[in-house]
Amino acid sequence: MMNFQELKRKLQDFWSARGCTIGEPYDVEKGAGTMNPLTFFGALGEKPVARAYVEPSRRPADGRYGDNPNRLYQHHQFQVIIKPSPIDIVDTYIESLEYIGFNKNEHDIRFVEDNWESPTLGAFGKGWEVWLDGMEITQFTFFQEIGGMTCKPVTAEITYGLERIAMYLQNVENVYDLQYSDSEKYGEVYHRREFDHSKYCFELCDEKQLLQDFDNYERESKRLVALGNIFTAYDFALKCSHTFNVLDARGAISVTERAHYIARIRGLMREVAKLYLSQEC
Amino acid sequence: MSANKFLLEIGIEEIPAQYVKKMAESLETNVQKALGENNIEFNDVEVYYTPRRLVLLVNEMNNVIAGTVQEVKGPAKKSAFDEQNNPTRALQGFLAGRKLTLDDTFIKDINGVEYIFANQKTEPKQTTDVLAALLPNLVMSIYQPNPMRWNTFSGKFIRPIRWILCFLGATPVNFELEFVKSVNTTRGHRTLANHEIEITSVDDYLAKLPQAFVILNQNKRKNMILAQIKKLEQQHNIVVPTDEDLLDEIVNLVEYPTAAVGSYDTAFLALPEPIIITPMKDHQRYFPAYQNGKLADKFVFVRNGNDYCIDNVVKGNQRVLSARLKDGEFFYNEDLKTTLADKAKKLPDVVFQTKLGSYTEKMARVAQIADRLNRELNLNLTDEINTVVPLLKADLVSAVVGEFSEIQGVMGAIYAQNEGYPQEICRAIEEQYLPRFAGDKLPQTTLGAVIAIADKLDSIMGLCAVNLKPTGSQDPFALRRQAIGILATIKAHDFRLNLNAFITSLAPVYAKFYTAENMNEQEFTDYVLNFFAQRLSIMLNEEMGFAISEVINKIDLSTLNMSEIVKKAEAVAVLNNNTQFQEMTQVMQRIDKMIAGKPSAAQIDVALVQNADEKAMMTAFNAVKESAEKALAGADYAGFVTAVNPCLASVNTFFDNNLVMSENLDERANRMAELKQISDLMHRFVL
Repeated sequence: MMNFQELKRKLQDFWSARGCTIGEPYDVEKGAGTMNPLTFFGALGEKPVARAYVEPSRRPADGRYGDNPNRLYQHHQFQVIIKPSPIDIVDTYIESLEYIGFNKNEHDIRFVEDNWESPTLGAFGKGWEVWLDGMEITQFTFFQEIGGMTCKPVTAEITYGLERIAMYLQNVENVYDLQYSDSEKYGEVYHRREFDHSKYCFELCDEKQLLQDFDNYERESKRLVALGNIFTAYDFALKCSHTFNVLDARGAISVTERAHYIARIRGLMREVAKLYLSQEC
Repeated sequence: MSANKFLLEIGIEEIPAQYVKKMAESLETNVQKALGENNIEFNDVEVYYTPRRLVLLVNEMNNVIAGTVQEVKGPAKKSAFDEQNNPTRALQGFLAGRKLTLDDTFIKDINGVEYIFANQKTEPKQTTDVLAALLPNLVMSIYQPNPMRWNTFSGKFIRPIRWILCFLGATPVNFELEFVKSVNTTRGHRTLANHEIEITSVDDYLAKLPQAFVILNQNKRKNMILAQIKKLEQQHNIVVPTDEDLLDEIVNLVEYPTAAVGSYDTAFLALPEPIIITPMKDHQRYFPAYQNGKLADKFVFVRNGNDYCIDNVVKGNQRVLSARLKDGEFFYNEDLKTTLADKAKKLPDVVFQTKLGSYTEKMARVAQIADRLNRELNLNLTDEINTVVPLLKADLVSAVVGEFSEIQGVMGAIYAQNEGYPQEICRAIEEQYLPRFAGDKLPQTTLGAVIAIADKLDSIMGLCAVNLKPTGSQDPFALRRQAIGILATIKAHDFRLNLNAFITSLAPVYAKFYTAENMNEQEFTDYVLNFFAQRLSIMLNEEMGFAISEVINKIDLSTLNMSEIVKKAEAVAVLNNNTQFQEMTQVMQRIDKMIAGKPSAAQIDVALVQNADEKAMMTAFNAVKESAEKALAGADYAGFVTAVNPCLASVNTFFDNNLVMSENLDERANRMAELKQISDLMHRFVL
């Protein structure tokens, strides 16, 4: 049986063999692998890129105190981006499923229309969610715009949901029962962490402090953009995004304000993207 | 002339199921048109579509486009040659422009003038050459609702084009798009035969595809699925209603369908049905199964592939459904911890539309509209309206609706039921959104109808007031559908409502919104009324089948009084061939033509009626007036036509034998007033 870390390793091997740079998770909190600078900046501009990496993705609103067998405050994505999107990228993706142990003839693989969109990133794309026997295991997107900028050439983004795939491969019903390595289960590594973060987001966080943090991070991001410092400005925009997600999970932001906060984050992302393109590094 | 089969296959990475049919149809239309314009003779065009390909098949197409000879007219003979009998510039230009020589010309006499003529010939052409030039544009002009870019290309298509295969008989048609060159290979099913398959002719293609697990014909796939489901129904002793829309969607998600049955824990059957059915149908594309008229712990899904290792696929789908049902159960139990009234307390925070404010604000307006409607129609529903309106949108903040927004209203009704609200209150909460789409059921209860009308009317008037009007193909709030929903509900409940007057009276409720958009009350009201009149006209035509010029244009729609307008339309449709009706409209038009733009007396002065024919006309009119009015009041329009008939001859006699436009201006104005009175009465039926 393939354990969780083996799954990550196999995906890295597969994409590494196809020319991808294997990146690392980014150390600023974020909601999705797309927000790792390897993708955000990789998708901008004309320079060809091929990158793959694991990304721990925090979704405060999905926190369930470790009680829900399927929902997590933090799950793991395996993210692949290739620019320009190769002509045979869908075929290659299916090969990757075979490589991690899904014989394509033994399953039902579907590509169901799903046009991804991230209002905070100022990004949208066209693509599918990929179903394996009815389960969504991957988000497959051709970026059309990111940071409010047109993507040309187009980047293909493949985002595997690692826990779901591993649960399927290991035939377990509860994410915490996943065999992480030969010595530990997923629950041993993450259960308490799930509980603490859920409790923080829903009960313990200091709303006032976070609202203030948001303003500070925003100001700092703008200041750094003005100074032409791209990657630090981006980090502070990411911090805004995560702070907003915590506040949103806490219910501290009304619907009207919500749209406003999203627009503020999108504004930061746009400025950073513009700055990056003006200097294309 | 020799003919062959023609085939165009566009191989595309999975096409969104919702668009594929329309795309194929647009391809068919465009190709047919182009073939006609280019004199390519063809017969019997079919289109097929799967998730991965659009295919156009022409069963007969001529291999060669015949050459033509066409007579073309040149300059007059006298200006074609100079005195030395040499061709003038005019003739030279004519010949050069058409690549003709003097030998091709002859002279023809037209009305006594001699002209130069020539026979212009076109050479026969190979159809494949012409097609190769036409096809790139035909492919790129396929209807593309939401296209994308990929790779480094600038062009857009619904999803990346992978390959193009094109043959006329056994001859490949070679052409090129920005993305691909046409090839002589196709591919089979995504997982069962995803390799390149060499094709030598159209017949070869049609023979090889089924072997590669591709059932090209969508109707065939549909019938396969239906037959498979029938078999499963027998095997498992279940009944599986096959919702048509869902079935069509599934047909477009598979190239090779295999239906199978899965099951789930019976414990979930304790949940309200919508919580079980919604994830099944809307999220997973399963058909729920029933036993003895009740939801069973089973479902049917359709795999894109054959039955190899189908148990794996069943198990996988069961896992997914079970996880979704667990979620649903969790959300439902969360929702049960608070009452609807508690949930409604969160609505001030839920924005309906930025400028129009929260749902609480919307509900205040809906309450006002519902209350006025209640009084206008004497429905005696004041208490019920006061109870239901505050609860209407409470389920929007429930966890279940947060997850499955499509069952808003339905969940509200279930929660209301749990809390013991009276049946009519629960029904009205459920019915507020009806009809959700064209052809959907309408609110059945009177309270539900009133609430549904009030809610939709507020959305329409509110969004129009903040200038979010539908434009062209853009109608993001589905206001057009909502307007038709209102009209259909009024009709179904036979509410005697002058919607025009009702809308006009509501306009001030929206004053602060339209004023902020620089509209005045008149402009706003006119816009809304006109919007409704247009919808009404479309509804009468498209949904109820009344002809536009013969029926709809003859009726005054501006009152928006549904029950009256529909009855009139029904009457006109029947009466159009009725002699008495024709006589009436003729007289009406005769009068209208006469009185148009002429001053008429404010009141009829009987003393001025001296002319015998005029007297007879007024006597005849006064004799029919009462019964005609009565027929109108009873919406008996056939009766009205019969009632009016006896006075028509006297009008004609007066017109035929007299100079209606009297020299005496007082007499003239008096006559105009009389005639207007007669025509006005008839106009209360038709325009």
